[in-house]
Amino acid sequence: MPSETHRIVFQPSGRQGEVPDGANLLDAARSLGVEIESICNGRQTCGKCQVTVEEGTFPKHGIISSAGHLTTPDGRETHYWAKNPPLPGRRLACACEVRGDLALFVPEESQARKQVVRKAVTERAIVIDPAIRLYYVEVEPPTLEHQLGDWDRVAAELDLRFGLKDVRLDPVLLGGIQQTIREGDWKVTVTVWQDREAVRVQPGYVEEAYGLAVDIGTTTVAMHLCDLRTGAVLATASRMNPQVAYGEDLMSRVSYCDMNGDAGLATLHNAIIDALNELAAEAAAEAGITADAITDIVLVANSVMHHILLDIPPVELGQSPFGPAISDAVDIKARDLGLRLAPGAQAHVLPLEAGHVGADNVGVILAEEPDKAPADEVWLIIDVGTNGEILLGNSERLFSASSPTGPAFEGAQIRHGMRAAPGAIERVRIDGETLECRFKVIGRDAWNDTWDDETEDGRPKTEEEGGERRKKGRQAGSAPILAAGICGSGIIEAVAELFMAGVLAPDGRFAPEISHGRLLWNGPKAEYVIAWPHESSTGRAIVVTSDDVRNIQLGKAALYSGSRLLMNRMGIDRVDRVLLAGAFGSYIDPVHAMVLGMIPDCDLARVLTVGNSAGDGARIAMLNKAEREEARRLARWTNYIGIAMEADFQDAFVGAMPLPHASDAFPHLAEILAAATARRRARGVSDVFTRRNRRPRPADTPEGA
Amino acid sequence: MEDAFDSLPAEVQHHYRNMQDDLYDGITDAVVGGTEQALAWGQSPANVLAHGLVAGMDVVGQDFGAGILFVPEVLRAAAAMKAAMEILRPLLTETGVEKIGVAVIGTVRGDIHDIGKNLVAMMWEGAGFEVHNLGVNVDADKFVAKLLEVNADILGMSALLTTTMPYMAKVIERLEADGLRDRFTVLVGGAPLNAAFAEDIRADAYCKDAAEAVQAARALVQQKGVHRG
Repeated sequence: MPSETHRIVFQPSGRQGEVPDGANLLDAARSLGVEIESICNGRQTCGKCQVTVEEGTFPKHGIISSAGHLTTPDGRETHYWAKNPPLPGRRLACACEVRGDLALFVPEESQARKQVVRKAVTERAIVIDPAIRLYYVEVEPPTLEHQLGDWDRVAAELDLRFGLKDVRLDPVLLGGIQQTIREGDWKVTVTVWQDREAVRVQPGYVEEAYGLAVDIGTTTVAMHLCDLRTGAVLATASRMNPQVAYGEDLMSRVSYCDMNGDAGLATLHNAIIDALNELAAEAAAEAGITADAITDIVLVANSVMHHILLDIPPVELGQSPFGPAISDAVDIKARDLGLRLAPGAQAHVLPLEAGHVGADNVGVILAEEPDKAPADEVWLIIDVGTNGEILLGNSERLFSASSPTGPAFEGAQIRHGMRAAPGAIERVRIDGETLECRFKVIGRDAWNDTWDDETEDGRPKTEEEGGERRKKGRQAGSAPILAAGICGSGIIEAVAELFMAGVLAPDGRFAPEISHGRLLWNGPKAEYVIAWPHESSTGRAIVVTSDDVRNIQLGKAALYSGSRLLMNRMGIDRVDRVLLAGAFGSYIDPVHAMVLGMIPDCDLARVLTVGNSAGDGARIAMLNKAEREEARRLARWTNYIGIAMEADFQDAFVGAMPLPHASDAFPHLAEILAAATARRRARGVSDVFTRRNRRPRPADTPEGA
Repeated sequence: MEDAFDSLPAEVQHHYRNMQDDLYDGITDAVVGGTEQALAWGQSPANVLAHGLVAGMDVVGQDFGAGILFVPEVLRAAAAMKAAMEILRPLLTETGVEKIGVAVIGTVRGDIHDIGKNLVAMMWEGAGFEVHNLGVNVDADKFVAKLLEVNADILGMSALLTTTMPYMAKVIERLEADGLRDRFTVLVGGAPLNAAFAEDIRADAYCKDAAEAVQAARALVQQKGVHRG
């Protein structure tokens, strides 16, 4: 079959496509826009282009992937591996030919462009009272008359000096206890967990207590290493969740466990544990310590990530009624999860609210404290992700819901969508008069309309040397970053800006009355050019299509209708404060979010982006043990509403599809909306699409004809 | 059976074209008024259904499939159609007009996604099918009981989760085990599905959207021959 092609999916980028049989894998990756490192340029010496074949069935992509779908290593690749022992499953992309369908994972170090993971820590005042405490004690050595055990002497001293009753020693420490005590000359520092268990014993006097706060997201894992005595964040590390290779969304991962049984769960569990161990080592190194000095780890995660972390089959979360195995918080030895920290280290996993409102949302409550909002105010908190979680209420009542937003806001299901990585368009401005567009990409400070004025290092060029320097820069391989695609914040801005400029009608159609060089019509559908080919790294224009707008409409309608149904439950008509949380929530512009109709009307000064609240919640629970109890109480106190089963969900959802909404008023956007309407009027755009004005289309009657 | 459109007087043709436009635009009052007007002129219920409503919904379906119309517009049109059907249905039964087919539809067990499935149900009604919408979280027992009870031609199943779509196969296996598979045309749809999956589970067809669901239902019922009445 000479014309045979194979389907390839690359993770974590999610890029995929068909490549001809026998194609070189590195070339195939590049043709699909997957940027893999290669220094030796295919001579199989540098080893930078390593990829892993994921074995198994991937129903979402409709493929069965197998290492056998690549040609076997040739002499040079075998030679390379002989000198550089491979990690299991690794291949050199430049040495393989494609012989069948493949799911491939490009490891962090092979990615030519590192992911920009935006889960930074927010400054918060936290009362430091961790579950982990250090106690220094001196004990008498045993004599022939007094042969009480060494540990019992320590325990007795803990009672006498600090009032700690009956502290037990983690059995894992038994083997080393006598040596430790003698090494410290009968003086030891004991790390005690929750006043009841010694999890680490060190010789002599030491001040060393470290903990990890972790947020396991569907797409991103973020970790903060903290000094448990001061609360200081010593290091932050994050990376893509490696489970992405087995399914981009939660349900695909549940399916993976379902279809591959115990082995499937083990694969996903081990993937996240390996990532956590690597992150812990990385963070520890950055802080100048070693991971075995870490005695506490607090984790938040959505329900599915939570179950997989705890090695619980997530199958029940994949189908109605979506019941979790356990809602309450879990205390478990870190070693029992497979984590390599201090041998006695404790792990604490925050409780779940409901089947699809997880520990991460409890973290958001801890961090943002809607339960402390004054009774005469109502706060709305939206954690934007593939599953949007919504909180609404105040100190008297708090409702939560999960809203099936879909992955559009993370750049998926968008023609030129990508995750937030260098080259992703993150800001878009469209001039309401000229309909021309400016944009900004991640990794480059200048907007594209001033790209010609900057040098490769971002400084304004001088007239004489600028061009020459840029040329040199390119030759040296430091070409400036061009647009590679559009990330979530970029697509939100693009759609909102198109509406504000009068290019999109309120129902989400590109206005057929408009003819413009950037608006390309293809039958009844159109696409608007954000970046021209010369501004893009793919050499092709980057566009927003009619279908992209539809997908954004579905996602934003899910968030809005979810918020609205909770507002109906509370019997309120407006909110006093809106917080946009989430890894990318910190970069959503409030005005654009509201113009789009993601969130209900509110004083724009009271719409705030709050960053990774879930991770902050984990940090709070790590630094203050009372907050762990508070989290348990809040998880039960919060009133979960299954909005999909609400009688008026369909009406609310459909009403929320137009921009910004079919009927709800947005007084705080009055000026912007009036300007958009005026622009549509001026161009003769009809807001109401009817059969009678369905034709003619611009293709039939070009402007000026 | 309805009269050929071309055989109708020009003003009646004009009236039906207006009704189709009103239906497309989802103006319920105008569609209901147009239905009453046509009946008052002595038009048969079959004529009003075919030329005033079904022909209008066909355009809605095409434009939805082509991405011109979106969910809210289609639901509005379907609501207008439904209001007109309240008037026509008793008359159609009275005059013994045959429906083109009977369909049972539902979202499979474990899945509570409603809207896309409702859209298909409404479009099928718009195309002249008698539709029994079982809602969400429907198990095999319920599907089979309803199929037999209403002597259906078509079974439509929806799933929006990769975790729930395998249940479609269970329903089909159940039909096979009961020796009922050949009696029903099985159509499946939902975001995570594709044609290969439909083939794997031995469904008759995968429908990408509501417009395709109408085409497929029509084609497969025609293939099976005249409805048993």
